[in-house]
Amino acid sequence: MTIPTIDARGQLCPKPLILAKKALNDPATGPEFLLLIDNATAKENVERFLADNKVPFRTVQKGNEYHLTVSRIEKPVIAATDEYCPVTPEAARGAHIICITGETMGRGDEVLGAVLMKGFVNTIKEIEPLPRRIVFYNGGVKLALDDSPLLPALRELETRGVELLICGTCADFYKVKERVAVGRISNMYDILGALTGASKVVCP
Amino acid sequence: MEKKFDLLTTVEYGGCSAKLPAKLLDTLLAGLPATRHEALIVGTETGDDAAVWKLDDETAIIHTVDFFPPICGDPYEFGRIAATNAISDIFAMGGRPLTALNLVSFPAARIDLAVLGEILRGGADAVAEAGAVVAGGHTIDDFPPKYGLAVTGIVHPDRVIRNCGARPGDALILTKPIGTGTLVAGHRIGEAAPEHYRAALDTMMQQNRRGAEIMQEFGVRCATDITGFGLLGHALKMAKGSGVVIDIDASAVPLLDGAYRLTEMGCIPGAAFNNLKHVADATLFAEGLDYNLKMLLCDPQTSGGLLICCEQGIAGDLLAGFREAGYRHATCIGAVRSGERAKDIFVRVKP
Repeated sequence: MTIPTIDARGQLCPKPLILAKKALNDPATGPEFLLLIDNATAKENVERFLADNKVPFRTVQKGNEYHLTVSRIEKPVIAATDEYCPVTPEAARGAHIICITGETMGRGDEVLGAVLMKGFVNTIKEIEPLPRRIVFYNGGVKLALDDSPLLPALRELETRGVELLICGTCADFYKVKERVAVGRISNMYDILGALTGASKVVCP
Repeated sequence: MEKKFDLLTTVEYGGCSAKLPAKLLDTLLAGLPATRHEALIVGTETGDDAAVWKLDDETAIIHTVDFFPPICGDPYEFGRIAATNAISDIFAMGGRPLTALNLVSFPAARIDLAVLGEILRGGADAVAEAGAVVAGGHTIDDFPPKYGLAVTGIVHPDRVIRNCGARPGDALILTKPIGTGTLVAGHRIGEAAPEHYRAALDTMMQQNRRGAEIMQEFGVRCATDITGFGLLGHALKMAKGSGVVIDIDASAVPLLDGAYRLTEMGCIPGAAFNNLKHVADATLFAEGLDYNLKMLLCDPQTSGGLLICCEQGIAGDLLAGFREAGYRHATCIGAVRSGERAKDIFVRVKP
């Protein structure tokens, strides 16, 4: 049985890539197609695109032409690939935000408050969905410093896609900006935007 | 002269940027002797935008050169964009251009000389807009045409804006939207909407002059302009030169209208793949980052915007200044972090 042929000969870069992508996304193409290219640069770019998106293919050179047999996978992976990103898969993120405004959780004894905060932050990762963002302001910024016992937990959340916003004014006020070791230093504009855009704000 | 002469018919790969791949260039330059002199404040070490030579305590002289084959069909606009792009390196160093010399390759026997006249007129207008003068030039009979400038400018030696002064805690600001490489490629194959292509041309003709003046008003000390190596390529140079990690929030990066749709179609300039290859080893792309967005961050820019690292405290005022000066898309796209934590990673991109 013959497979569909896409003739991209004589086409300038990036036209061959456009034709390849069209064929990949079209269910009518069938499980495999043949792509003909007569230009080395265009061939290389199509190959890089296919490799990046984990699309199986093989190339045969015939004179000045390249014949690429491309397998159409049902759902082309159009996300970043493992080689670029050796981190744990992103868990589902919710639309809620957690607001950390001090070093302790609740009011009362400070030692107890610190213990509770530690437990709270370490437990965030266990609850699905993960928050979309965690905002740290006032004394809360101290949890994001280089000597914070919560750094491993916060870094894990960050690699799982939770955005950590650290109030820059607060870090300046406590003179600890250089020591912020996780998250992104942010401003009131961003923080307010995050808070007002959230479906729910959780404040320990 | 033929009124409708289309310069793009002279170049084979309109979408593929003409710059040598950064990786090749790195290898090549590594084999050359280092250039050192006490007056050479900025040389080749960090791949900065221009060379800076200190004349005395008050004045340093900035040298830069840039030229390329046509990236658009209209000769006047090509001249204007090529000149704007060349002068931009002076602005990226925080300087003021004084004189410009035309660099021309033109096939006198194959194309009406009036076309060259239009290219030079576009260049002269850009030089005038930058506050400099055309002081001469050099022409070679050659095909395809190429045009650009060698520019000389000045800056106070203590007020040089380098690409290696980023500090942890800084905000990362970009003054112009990206996607010019994609839109030029898309235009060439007839897929870019005319108004989107028009906006790309306009952004390439927009000077970084006011941007440089505003940076100096606020005492900014770290910036570069985004050109052929793409946003990620230039951010990487900045991070490596500064010994920091630059975090980029991909969703915050301003894109030219139409650029995303073209990328989604597969209209990706070849140079974007080269740029990706160049940054891949030192860049961490977060899981879930959209492939199209990733390729746009690698899109080769012509006459792109300024990428600036500044203290968080002045970021808001700086942005307001840029927007007021006509950089409508200026925005904060990320932040600078301490470089100690991840030795081989200099840029991190979040979805």
